[in-house]
Amino acid sequence: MSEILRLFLPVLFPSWRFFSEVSASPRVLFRVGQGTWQDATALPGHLSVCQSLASLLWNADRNEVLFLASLAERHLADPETHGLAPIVRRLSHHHAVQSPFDLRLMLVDGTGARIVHESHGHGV
Amino acid sequence: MAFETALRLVEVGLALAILQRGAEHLRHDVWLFVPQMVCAGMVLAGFAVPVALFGAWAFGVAQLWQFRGPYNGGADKMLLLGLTCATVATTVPPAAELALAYLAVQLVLSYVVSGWVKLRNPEWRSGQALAEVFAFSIYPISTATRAWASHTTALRRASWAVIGFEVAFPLALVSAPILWIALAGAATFHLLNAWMFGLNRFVWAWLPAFPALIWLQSRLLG
Repeated sequence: MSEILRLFLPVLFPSWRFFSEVSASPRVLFRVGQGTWQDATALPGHLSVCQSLASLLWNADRNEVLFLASLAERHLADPETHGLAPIVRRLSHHHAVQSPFDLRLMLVDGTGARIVHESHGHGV
Repeated sequence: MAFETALRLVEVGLALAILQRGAEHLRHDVWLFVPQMVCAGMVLAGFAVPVALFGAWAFGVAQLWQFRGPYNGGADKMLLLGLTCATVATTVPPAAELALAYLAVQLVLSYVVSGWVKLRNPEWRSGQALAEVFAFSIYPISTATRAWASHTTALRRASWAVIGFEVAFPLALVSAPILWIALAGAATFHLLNAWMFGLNRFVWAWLPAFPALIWLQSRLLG
């Protein structure tokens, strides 16, 4: 009950501090076997006007990427409370990544990209 | 705007937001979203609306639990806040006006607080923050959109336009015509965010609260 309350109170009393600062942005990458690292949070190259308009109605893949990034942010901010399991689960089930796979978390800012976590053998 | 009309428009807006959002989850998490979509259908049809709203709210809380927070950040928070207020308004008649007023106040705060935070941040005032959002954040809708990061003058002007709009938003309450214009501007702001950053759910989550503010303005200032 206390956990639900902890999750619900910010809904009832929102802070609305959107973009109070632009901090380093997370990326979630995976690698199957000895293949290349693939970015599960990669942006599409270009969207047509029709695609942009359609995304107003249905934007599931994009919102899933944003959620994956938010899971990475939660883990990096508090690894003990927010483990890697939700990220691994979504990569396995929602992104159909073959098991076992390696996981890499990166942070990107104005100075470049850096690896902040790497682990192996996930999804088994 | 009459209270009953405003409440009904809020209910319809929330129901449409739930249907749009639920459609994005039909490949996964079906058990969490389809029942909520059924509740939304009941609200749209005007069938057992208080029960349907409560059901939609309960599934919204279940989604919070499942995802250990909002799945889509501020959009899901606003939608659940709207559901909370609409549920109270329809199930606790003595608190109905207070609930809708609370939603309206939170709508105003969502702009004012966000604008104030930006106004106090020198990186936002200079346009650098917006440039960084385009340059390396996860939000641009495509890699092609990242090219906007180099348009520093335009981004500085855009930053001040957003800051000015958000901070000055409460002034729109002085008259109904000005409020309608401000809300049209707010809707445009959310549509632009959806177009550039893929934040489509913010459009669907914020617009249902607009009738609550229109009602509150007429209630307070006649």
